[in-house]
Amino acid sequence: MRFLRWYCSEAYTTEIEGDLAELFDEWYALHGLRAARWRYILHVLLFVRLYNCRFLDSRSSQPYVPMISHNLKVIQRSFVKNKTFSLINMLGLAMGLGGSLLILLWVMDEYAVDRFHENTDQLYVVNTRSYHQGNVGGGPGTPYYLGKEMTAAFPEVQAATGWAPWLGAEPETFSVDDKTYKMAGNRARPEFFSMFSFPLLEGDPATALAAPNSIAISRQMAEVFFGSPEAALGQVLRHDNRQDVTVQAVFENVPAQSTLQFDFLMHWDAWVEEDPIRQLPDAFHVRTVIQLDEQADPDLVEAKITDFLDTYIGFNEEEFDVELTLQPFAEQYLVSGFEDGVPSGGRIVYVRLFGSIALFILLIACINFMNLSTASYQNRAKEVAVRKVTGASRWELISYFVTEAAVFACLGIGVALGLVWLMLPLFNDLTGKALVLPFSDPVFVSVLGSLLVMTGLLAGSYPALILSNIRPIKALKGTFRFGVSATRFRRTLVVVQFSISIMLIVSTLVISNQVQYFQSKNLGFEREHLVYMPLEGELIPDYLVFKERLKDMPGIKMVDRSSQAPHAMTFNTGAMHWEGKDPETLVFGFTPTSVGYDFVDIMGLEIVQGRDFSAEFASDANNFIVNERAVEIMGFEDPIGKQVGIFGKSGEIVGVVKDYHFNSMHNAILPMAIDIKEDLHFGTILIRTEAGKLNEALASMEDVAQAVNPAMPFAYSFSDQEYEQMYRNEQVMMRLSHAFAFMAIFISCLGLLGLAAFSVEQRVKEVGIRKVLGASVSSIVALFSKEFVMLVGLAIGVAVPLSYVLMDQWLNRYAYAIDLTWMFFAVAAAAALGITLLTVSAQALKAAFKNPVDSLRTE
Amino acid sequence: MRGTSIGEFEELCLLAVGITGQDAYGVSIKKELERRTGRSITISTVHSTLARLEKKGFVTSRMGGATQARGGRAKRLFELTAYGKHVINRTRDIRNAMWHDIPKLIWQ
Repeated sequence: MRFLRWYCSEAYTTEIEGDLAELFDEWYALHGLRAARWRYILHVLLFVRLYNCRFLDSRSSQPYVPMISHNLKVIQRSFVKNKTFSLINMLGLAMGLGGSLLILLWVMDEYAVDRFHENTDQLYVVNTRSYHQGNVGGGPGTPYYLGKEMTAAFPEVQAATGWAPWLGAEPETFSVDDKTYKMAGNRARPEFFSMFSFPLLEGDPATALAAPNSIAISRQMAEVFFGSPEAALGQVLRHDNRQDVTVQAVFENVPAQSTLQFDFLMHWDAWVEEDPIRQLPDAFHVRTVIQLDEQADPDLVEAKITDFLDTYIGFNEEEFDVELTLQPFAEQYLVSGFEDGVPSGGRIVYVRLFGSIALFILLIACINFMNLSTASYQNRAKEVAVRKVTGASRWELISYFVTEAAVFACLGIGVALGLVWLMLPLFNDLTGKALVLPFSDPVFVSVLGSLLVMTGLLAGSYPALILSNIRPIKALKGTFRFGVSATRFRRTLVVVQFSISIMLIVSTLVISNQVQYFQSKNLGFEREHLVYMPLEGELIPDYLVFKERLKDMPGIKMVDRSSQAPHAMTFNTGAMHWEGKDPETLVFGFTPTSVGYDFVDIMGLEIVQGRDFSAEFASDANNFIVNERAVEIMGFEDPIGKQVGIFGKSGEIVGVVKDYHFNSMHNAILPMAIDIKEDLHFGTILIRTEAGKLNEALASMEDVAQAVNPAMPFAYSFSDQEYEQMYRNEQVMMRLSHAFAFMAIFISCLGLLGLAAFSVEQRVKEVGIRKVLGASVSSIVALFSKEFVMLVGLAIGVAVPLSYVLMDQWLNRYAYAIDLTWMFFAVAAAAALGITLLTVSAQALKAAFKNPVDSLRTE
Repeated sequence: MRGTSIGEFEELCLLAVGITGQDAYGVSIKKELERRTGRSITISTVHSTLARLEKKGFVTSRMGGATQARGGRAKRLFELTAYGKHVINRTRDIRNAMWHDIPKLIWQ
């Protein structure tokens, strides 16, 4: 029968029901109760026909249009009447929307990286998967020759190029006439410009990198050296003061959304020829990007290339094997990590994390909005009752509330957009991006639109459903109260809000601590007062001269050199051999470092076995020092005196140095082999300055540098600064999570404030009576607080285990991480409780101080 | 007014309303139809047909006569309009004329 009433328009209900009642009696008499019931149901269903359908009733759908303008007027009036309340509500919503929008922009930008190339779908990066004694490992490093060989061997590989990721951080010197500048760039194969979409301003993609001495430069570089791109074409630049290159093309400056960043490109093969190490079959140092034919199936191609390397390196298949795998080029920015040999994790973890945070914040804001609106409607029960009495249908009421929520949502989004526009510069600074509000992007606009609709519907539906159900009589009498289920729902919402906020607080605390840990952890070497200078130009052959002159200058304590910058020795290889090592296997991760004699001293390292290098031992030119980890891997009991070799040089181990962090703390400490090579044509000069005498030291350095290497500008960097750069990701994360936690707390507070105020107002009379009966102020405050404290307690109970699991997972990604102590959770819980108590008692106090006469007087 | 043709069931309903007279409402009409035609009629069909007939102007209705058996709910009572009567007659005339003109031979 209820079904009938729902479906049927009221004009027909009575007679149909009556007829069915008569028939029911007959059926009951004739066929018994069960049959009668069945027939009844059947006939009700048969009555679902068009003629009596209430939804097609033309009567009630007509006044809809004029109702809109009326609704809007009423909404405007109600807004003005509760100005503070409405403002708070809208502000909370706007903040939540704004925060989510910011994150959304960031996420959208992350996903757009590297996807602007025309051939995106055909571009793949080649990774390796290595099997070693049962362990599977994956890596991005491939041999230098791979691109060329693959295009020759596989018809599906249309084009290929290599890429040397470290070159972006090592600017090279160029000069024209009297202009000398350092620019950062890379090397590429001739087909580079047809693979990637970097538009050329001058020159032709086919010839840009065809000749071995050709160079393609960016607009910026062209303007700096030649004044304009047109003038640059065909000109000659002197590179590193040792070779001349001709500008064959000028390209537009590389956009920020490309992971491949460069101001110039030179010929790949010519570069490989320069250094025999680059021609080694097992030098897995560079990335290789290939372009497949349009019709080629990437899976098939991957299967074909898997064992390609076997033809170049003879591995013992059981002990060790290296396979090639493909990964779409656009993906390698986000999915940059490796797990079990397969690309997984990396930046995408952060992206997903932030995406979820954005959703959470949005959720909190919406919940808040719903809660607060609903609470306020209690006061408007009379209004709703009057509407009902004057003939508003349930549908009309619902549509009114949804409209009101939609208007709020609109205003909220407007304010949110304004907030975002204001915060964008700050946000860009924080994240190192250049985000804008892309109003022209259809995706963005549609997302905004759907946000609006969703929020409006969500927030408006709940109060609408409740309120349209009230009995007018009760409401007009003034005894209207929300049912128990409504209050319970609202309470659950508060619990959810606070759980999310607590989780965010815990995350913030943990992340901050972890970042601080990184920054302050003892690296095992002295980070401060250490300056780097790149080895280039005349400094290469005249290094020893430079060292002699500089080390006695004011402010300088020690000078030495290293083949890689000490804090970021990312270059590692498997080409290490030692006594007793199985010649068929390759152990990756050996970090070779070629240094001067004073390296151990200058770095402040500790020798735990054997001795340091010394110029007094002539044989030391061929000897090695290894670190503790290396000893572990090589399996020597007494390493001193054992024979080891790398890159064609072999000698004895003379000392073992204590493990120190020469790489990011994301990774465990790798084995390291140090040897002496003071004539290596690349590397970094290390200069230890005396404490407090930095300016003098820099002046000294500049003097000597200009004397020895006048053709090039003086360049230097600080070790501790460089080190901090490595953790930029984490720093960004930390600041962002600070901001978001704050936002979440703020919004939750607003919600709590509203609820507390509301709850207090409801019980004004009760408070008055209690005061009259002698209750003290504190007992009244306690009365109200108890309820909310319980809610927060529940939230804590939910949030703590969840956040523990999440944070534990996150910390496990780091080889060196802080402990997840209970302190974090305690602080978060205390904060939440504290805030709750503060907010609630503020409201409760207000009520407690009210004169009972006033509160009891109202009817 | 155009559209004075009515379907078979509609015609039967109209006739039933005429027969039942004073107490012509859903159930009574249904019973009359069942008695006369010998087929079982669903009450919802009767209701929807009558509503349609009312819209076409052949019958009018009023509410009245609540009884205990109906749980106190009123009945919708139907009555033929002049137009309705006209339509019944017209239909009958057409039928009869056609019936007459069938050659006697068919009936042998």
